[in-house]
Amino acid sequence: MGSAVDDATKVRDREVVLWDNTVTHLSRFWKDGPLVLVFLRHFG
Amino acid sequence: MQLRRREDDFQQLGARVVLVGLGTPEDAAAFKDRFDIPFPIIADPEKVLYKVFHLKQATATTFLSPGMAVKGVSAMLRGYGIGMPTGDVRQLPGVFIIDAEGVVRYRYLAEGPADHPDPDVLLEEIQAVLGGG
Repeated sequence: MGSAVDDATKVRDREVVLWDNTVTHLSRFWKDGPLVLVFLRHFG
Repeated sequence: MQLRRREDDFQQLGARVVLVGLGTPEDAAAFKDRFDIPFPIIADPEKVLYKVFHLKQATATTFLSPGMAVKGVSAMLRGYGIGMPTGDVRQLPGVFIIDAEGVVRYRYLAEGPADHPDPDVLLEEIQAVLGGG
């Protein structure tokens, strides 16, 4: 179930590891524009 | 994956699509390669982000319901769920839209394994974010 959020929940920036073993910050992906963060059930 | 087919639409709005998966970076790389996923993938084997974003987990009742079986077959026919799963199969998916300030502006927490938001809805929500709505 989806809904627009109006409680201004701010995401705490944190380090993440990418598929190529690069370590970066999550904010890298939202700082230049909207980020669509898709959580998968599982790979496959 | 419906989002993959709509990559251009998200790019046109200046939105970035990033996936988060339960496996290791190696699992993520194999998945990315196998299904030709154009988006970055974050590997989260310890479910840190899943917990931070309060993603739900399926119960036995969720898996065993007839309605879920129908949705599962439908999802497979639409391109979801092909291949052997890697990770916690109880974990349910979700989608968040985060603006350039790091604020969550939209959240979709799946109620079942085959529950996914319509890409058109996501695109509308992104436009609302960009429009200051």
